[in-house]
Amino acid sequence: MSEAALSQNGAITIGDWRPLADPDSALEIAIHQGWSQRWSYAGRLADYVSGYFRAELAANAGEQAADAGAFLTYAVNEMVENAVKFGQGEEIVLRAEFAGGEMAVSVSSVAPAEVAQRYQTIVEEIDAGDPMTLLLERVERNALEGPSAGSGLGLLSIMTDYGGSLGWRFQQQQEAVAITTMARLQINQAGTA
Amino acid sequence: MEVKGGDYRVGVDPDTQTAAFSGTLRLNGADEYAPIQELLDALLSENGSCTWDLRELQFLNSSGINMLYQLVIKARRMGNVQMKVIGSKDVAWQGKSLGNMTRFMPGLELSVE
Repeated sequence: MSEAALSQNGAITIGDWRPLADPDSALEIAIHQGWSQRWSYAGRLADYVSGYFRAELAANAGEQAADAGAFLTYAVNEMVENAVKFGQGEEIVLRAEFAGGEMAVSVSSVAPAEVAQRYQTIVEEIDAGDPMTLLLERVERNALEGPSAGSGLGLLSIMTDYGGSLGWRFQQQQEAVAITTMARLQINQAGTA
Repeated sequence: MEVKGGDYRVGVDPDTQTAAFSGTLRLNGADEYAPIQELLDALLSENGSCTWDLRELQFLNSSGINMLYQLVIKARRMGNVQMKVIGSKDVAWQGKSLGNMTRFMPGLELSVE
């Protein structure tokens, strides 16, 4: 597991943060305002992104095409839901990229400083621990404490159930913090043409 | 007894103690899942056996997965509940996430067909 790193422009990166260089294909969608009234669109957006890459994954991911599609649907939905829940209701940018043996999806949003700080604490804990252990502990803790604002399972299950890796970037702005969460899936191309 | 929304349905058959799920469930957090949680909770309380048929549930977000895990843990704590969960290999999230249920309740009978 990596530790937080400070880049030259002052951004902090945590975990598996490696933007894809020269993607074979990329899809970027920006939503500018009013997300809080459109919760159900997170799911429709996830279905759209998965559908957009379906033919490409079928041609390049071999037996893993269905798994990669399921990863996209689940990860996009969870990451957009998080951005809507914890963001400021302003711009959300979704980017999905395919490059050879990797599929990467990132969601960027802006959050108030104190919300970003809480999120950073959570992701540092995820980055430092074993995802399955953390998931089991979190579910048992939810059972003891009862319903809360978030189950805390979305990011962990992208790792434990879908085999994805996660990275984060925090960039301080004037009074807020721009946050990007990136999930990536390694596609083993053995057995494909 | 059932809870229905725009693109989902959860119905309970009291005769077989089975809850059947269909559609896609992407509700916003524990508050929106509360009516479904209450329906499933009542099924747990009434008898010694309980079956969830998830085969027709095409998608479930992490808030919904958390709800199911919470109920599985409750069943484990009750001690006398025979839990059975039926899933489908053809539905991606089920192949990925249902296996965790036996970690929370080792006696749970999981059948992914």
